[in-house]
Amino acid sequence: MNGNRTASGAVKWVLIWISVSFIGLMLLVPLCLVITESLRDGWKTYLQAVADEYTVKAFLLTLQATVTAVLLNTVFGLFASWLITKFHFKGKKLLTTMIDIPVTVSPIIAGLIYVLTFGRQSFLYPYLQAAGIQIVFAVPGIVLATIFVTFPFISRELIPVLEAQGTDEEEAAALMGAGGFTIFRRVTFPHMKWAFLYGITLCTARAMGEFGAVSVLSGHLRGKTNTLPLHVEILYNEFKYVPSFAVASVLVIMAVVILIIRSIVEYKGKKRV
Amino acid sequence: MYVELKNINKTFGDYKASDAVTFGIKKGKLVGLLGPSGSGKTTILRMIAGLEEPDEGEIIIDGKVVNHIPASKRGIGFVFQNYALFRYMTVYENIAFGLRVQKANKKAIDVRVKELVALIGLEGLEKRYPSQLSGGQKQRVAFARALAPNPHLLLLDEPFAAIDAKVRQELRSWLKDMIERLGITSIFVTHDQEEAIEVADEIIITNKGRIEQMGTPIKIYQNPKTSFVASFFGRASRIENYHGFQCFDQVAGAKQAFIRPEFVRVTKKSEVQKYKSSVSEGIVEQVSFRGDNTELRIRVDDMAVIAKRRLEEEIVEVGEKVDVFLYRIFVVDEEKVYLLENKSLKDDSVFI
Amino acid sequence: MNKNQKNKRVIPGFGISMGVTLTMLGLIVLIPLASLVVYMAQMGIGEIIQTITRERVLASFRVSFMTAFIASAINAVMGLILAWVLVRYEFPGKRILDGMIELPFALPTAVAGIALTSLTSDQGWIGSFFSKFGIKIAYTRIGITIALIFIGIPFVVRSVQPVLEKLDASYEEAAGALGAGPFTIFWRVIFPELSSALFTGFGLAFGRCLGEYGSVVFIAGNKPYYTEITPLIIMSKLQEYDYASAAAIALVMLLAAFLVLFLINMIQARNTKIILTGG
Repeated sequence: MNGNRTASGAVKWVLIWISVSFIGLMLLVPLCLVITESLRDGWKTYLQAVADEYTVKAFLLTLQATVTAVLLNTVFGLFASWLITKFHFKGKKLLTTMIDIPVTVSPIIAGLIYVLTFGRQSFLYPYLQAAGIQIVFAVPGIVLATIFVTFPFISRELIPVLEAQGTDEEEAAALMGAGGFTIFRRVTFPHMKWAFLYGITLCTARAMGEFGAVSVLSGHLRGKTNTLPLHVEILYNEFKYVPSFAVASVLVIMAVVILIIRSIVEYKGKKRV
Repeated sequence: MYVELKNINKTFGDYKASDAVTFGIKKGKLVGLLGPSGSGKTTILRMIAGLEEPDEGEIIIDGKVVNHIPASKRGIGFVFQNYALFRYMTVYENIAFGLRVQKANKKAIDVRVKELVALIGLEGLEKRYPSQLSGGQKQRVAFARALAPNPHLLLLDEPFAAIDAKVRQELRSWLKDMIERLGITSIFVTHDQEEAIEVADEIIITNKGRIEQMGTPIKIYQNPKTSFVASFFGRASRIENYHGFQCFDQVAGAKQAFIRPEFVRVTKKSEVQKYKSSVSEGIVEQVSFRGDNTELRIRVDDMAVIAKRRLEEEIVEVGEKVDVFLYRIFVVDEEKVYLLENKSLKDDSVFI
Repeated sequence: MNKNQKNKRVIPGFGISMGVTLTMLGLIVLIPLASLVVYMAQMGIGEIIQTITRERVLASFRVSFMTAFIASAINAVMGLILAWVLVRYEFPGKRILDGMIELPFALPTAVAGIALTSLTSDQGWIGSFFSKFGIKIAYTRIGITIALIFIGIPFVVRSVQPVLEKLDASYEEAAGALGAGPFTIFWRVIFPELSSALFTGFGLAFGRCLGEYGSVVFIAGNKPYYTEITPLIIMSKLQEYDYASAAAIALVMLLAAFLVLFLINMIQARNTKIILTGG
């Protein structure tokens, strides 16, 4: 495996240097900037911004939206990937494409369509108003938007793995009389463990960081309908740069944690194979 | 010697792929590297090609030590087990590749490619992509591609392993024919004995990274030099203690023996047997039809012996008591293999 | 067909999976999308065309398209280099590099937005360096492109990496044995194998860049006709409660995104065809 595979030493190191510089510049530097800017006025200001009442409320809302989205999309992901990989039926390709739509749609448009569906000029509005439910510019809208943009994340991770696994094992188990849930738990799940974790990680990351769609549906009411990213935006637009970066740094830390988790999951997954 | 390997050693991790490998191949010969999986034969081939580097030792091609010459400059043609045809190029482009690299002129390339396409019998298929060809066709294109730049040495790595059994036969004779016509020195790797016997002028038997024996197929068959070759080549039964068969000389320190089916003559109690006094009695354990003969497994004392009977002979049944006569056996000690003849054969003057 | 029907009966759960899948898909994706279409139908073609052909809107299309294209092209080249380096070479810190690639996915776009803006503004670490030469980055199209490069990094790398990892060594060995040098091998043997994945990655990045909002809205400055991207116009219209215009423009964007997806699928299919059946 030597000779032709490794290009001459010079080419190799030039390419490595280019790659490291590119990533360093594009990814590492911005991260460092967030940290340094957030600490510019010292630890006290930092902690003040982070522990601020509105920040905490924003954090809780982000958490609420994320957990809801991840739970619902996990349920969806499990059923959808089971449906698509274990059965043949007409329109399967169309279904798969439709499930992937949220990934290709711009977040702003995602927000827009929810506004059109549940907002003032929609045909559902009178019913919602009668029931006292407000979706647009309120928490439910934010949660819905988060669900939408992360909708296929888990199914997209599970489907390739389950496709590669095939249906033989499940058929064998079914023929031996095992019920659906048992088959899933003991035959299918072990195969998809790591892809499953990976999908949940991705879904969580995206849900926490969603900005555009949530921005459309939020009333931008501080303490009520602001997620953490929205809070960052508000502070920045008010020229409160240091607090803005302080809150941003919280998100950065969460992102780095997620990356580390993802690396571990991937490493464990590859080791198994 | 056109190709020589001198004291080659190669280790992958803790796996010794080549252990003091030394041999030489004359120009124009077609040599087969034969051995079980993991015996190091492919490693040898790849080192000659330059796709691997030996840890120690010299590889000499046409008088030159080539250890440090990269594969692309050794002037060899290599045919891979899974063809490795470039998937995004047509048959024509695949074959022309080596010539294009050499920057030959367009006309010359065209002539040569057409010549090779005719040689391999695939006229009309030049514009096809590899995925549109059958296994046998792909292998022929791989062969043509390797030959296009006029290499001095042709190396083939298990060229027929991935091909259907029936097509394999045809392709084997075709390949041997081609190589003889072109007169190019060739080395191929195989784990299939029949293939090695049929195609190669000479065979090199490998085992656990070492060369066991080198010679023409017949010589190796009739005169195995090591116990591995005696047991590996041909279909032999292994006997732990041959003294149970009294009619053979004793060899000091050697107890293990190999018996080839053709050394054994099995006769029914009712049939004529010349050396009735020298037979051993055995019970038939298994009878299997093998297409052009019947194979028997016979238990003599506590030893199992494989023998054959022709289809015209009377049927032998399981459980039947039969006479087993051994013409000769291979007896092995630590190092050597001895071919012993049944002593009764010498006293041919003694008749019943 | 027989086996398919048998499949449905042998493995349990078809009914409930179909039910759950369709219900959730319908409620969360299809119905909201449908309301866009319904809303559009109410508008009438004439009004729609008028909306989307307004100068400002057309300018935003141009800005979005161009910046997305350039950013994705840069990512295509860099992504190829990154994938190559990660698969073929060993060097200290490689695992960290590999792990960082997903950062644009994990980081909220707003955070990326403010960080990049700060970095490239005239007082920022990088912006100050360039402003000495009179080059402004933040609040210009260059800034937009940089933000788009940031978010598009993972697409090409992760698209090409698996293909490169699985690439059979024997193709390169065959080419090498035939006398080809490393560059020839790369261009004529390896690259064709990667081109499909490269296109897919480019297409995905491009689609994402077209619709990106969070990371761009801060750095763009949002000057109409100059640095106003389409998602931003939609946002402005929404804030003005001009749902009609917002919807019309959104429709164009959706169509563009679907077109890109369609093209990617076609190229992928064509390449698979060549490998599997010879084109």
